[in-house]
Amino acid sequence: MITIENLSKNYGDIHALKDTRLTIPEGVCFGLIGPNGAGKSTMMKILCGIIDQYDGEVKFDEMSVKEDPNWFKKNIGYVPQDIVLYEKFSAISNLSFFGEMYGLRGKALKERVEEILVLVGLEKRGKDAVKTFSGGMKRRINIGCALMHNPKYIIMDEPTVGVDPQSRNYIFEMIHKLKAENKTILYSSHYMEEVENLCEEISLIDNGQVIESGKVTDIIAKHSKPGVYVEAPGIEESMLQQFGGVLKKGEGFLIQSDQVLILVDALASWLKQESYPVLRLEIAHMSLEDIFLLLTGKTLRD
Amino acid sequence: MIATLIKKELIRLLKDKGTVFWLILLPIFFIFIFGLIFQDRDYSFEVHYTDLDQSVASKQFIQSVSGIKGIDLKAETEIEDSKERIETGKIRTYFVIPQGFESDLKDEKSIKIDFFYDGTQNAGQVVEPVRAVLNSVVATYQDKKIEGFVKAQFPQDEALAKQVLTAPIELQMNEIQVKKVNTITTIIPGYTVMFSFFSIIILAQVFLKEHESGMLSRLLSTPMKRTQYLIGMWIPFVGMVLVQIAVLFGFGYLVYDLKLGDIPAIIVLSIALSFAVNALGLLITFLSKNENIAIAATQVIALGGAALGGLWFPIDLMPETVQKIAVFVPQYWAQKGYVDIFSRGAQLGDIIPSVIVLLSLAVVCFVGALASYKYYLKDAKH
Repeated sequence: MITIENLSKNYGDIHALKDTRLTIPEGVCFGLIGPNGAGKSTMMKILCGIIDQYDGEVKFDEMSVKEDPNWFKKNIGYVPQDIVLYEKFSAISNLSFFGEMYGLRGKALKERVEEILVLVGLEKRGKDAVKTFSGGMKRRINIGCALMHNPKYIIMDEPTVGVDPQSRNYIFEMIHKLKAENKTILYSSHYMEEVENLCEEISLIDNGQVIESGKVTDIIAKHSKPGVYVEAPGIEESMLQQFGGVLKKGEGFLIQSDQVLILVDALASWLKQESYPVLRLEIAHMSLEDIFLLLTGKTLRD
Repeated sequence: MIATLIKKELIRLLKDKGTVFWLILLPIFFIFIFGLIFQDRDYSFEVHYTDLDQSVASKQFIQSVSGIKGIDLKAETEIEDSKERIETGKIRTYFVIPQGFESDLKDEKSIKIDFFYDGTQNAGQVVEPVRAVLNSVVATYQDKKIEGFVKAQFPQDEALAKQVLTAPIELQMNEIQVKKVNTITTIIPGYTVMFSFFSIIILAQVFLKEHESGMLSRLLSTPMKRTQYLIGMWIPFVGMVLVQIAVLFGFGYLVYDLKLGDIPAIIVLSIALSFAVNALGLLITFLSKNENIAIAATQVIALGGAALGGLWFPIDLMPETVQKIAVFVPQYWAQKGYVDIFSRGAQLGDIIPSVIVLLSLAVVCFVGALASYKYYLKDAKH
């Protein structure tokens, strides 16, 4: 279990994290969701020891990180947001290097390199220089490097950014395998559907603070209200406020209401009366992204 | 951990073609070019002449001039054409033996030999030695004339004649040279020392690239300690400069018959040089905001130090002020140490001042680098 208590980190006048509290249970895939600059990466870098100057407390299995920084570093695998590899080295050399940095040697190292190459689906390209790989393949090796020492905790900072669908599927498969091995995974992403599919629990972060945390289903049940989605060229948010709370969603609007059938009827009459061409008019439920927008007033890509 | 970083860095350096070019191929190219220009060369001055007399006496005069080491005579037929060639800078010096040279010599008349030379300022280095040589040959005719006169005046008293003819001052030539060395003995260490400083560029590029790419942060998430990173990344560069020195001196030994001298002294001096260069490199790297600043600073230090430290020209030929400044330049001490070993047979004990200066610089720069290291770590891209 990872426990974060009153975690704060400032960069000059900028408060990257403000008294953040979070508990990440053992053996789950935990999603961190927030827009750029929300504090996700700062939190992850504190957790994996890159940032060691901060206020508050971080505990792994009830042991404070400050007590024994080396212990937790040996038990954490960090997948950075950027691809950080030696481009002129082969995949095997990169994996071996990171394995050696965690103390693996000889036969154990060689066997682990082979296991990881199979896990990331690049066993046939092991001897090739990384610079010859596609972006997705590099991402997979980037993840593989973090898994070389078989860590108990895995911290993944947006591991699927700029990845082709094939590599994305490999990465998802990898994460499912790691979950099956009871690893604790902290996963941050901009892609809400990824988080919904992969993570049992999530935290929504904005402005350095956790604004909601818990199981995905619980959060949706807590904040989601039924509503009607309407898409018609020419209509504006202000015109729809007479029908209830309005959220901009894609090309249209989501209007919240407990009486969706009545709302559909009212909207249809109004659209007909105002002669707007209707593209979509349907009953809809709020997604995680809608809930994030509802709670923060921001989209994830702000 | 340190061994893993050293191994990684050595492999990376070997895979980088730029390393081999900058540190090995380019200095070899420079040594080769300057070796071609200077190696065992006997400097000679081309002197053009026209003999209008074509007599035995005029030919003897020409033989007297051509017999002097460093003078290369070229006969010309056209006087005006030769003078025009001086005007256009094609030749620098030219003399004309007049018609009647032999008969005037016999009649003991005064003979005028016209000496034409390029009067532009930069021609002085060629003209003055030739003028001195011609004056010296002309003086021998005067000596012979005096000798004939004295012998004629004192036909019975040979001792008196000899006393009169003996020069009051005689220059006794005594060459002192511990080892027989050629010009390449100063060229090879000069360019080796100069290009050892260029390794700072590679060091800065590697450290700053890891700093900017996120690799440094990534490695800080492993159990690696910060000092382990510094040492593991730095030691390969110390080794790289030692290999560079060994290859360049080996090239000099095999191709130019460089007389190496005391090997332990070379090893100790090379280690001191490598420590100094790489400690300075670390300091420049940690103080530089980016790669361009580091490269510019390195070039100023490498090229400025080479010029001031006597790597390009012998320090004795430089103005006194520059000679005074040179002792504050590490390149001077490295070059002095190597030249002393190669040319004067210096042993380990003789080069201790050079070693102390270089190691002191290494310590000062390393301490400065350590003080700046925390900022380098703090600014690393996360």
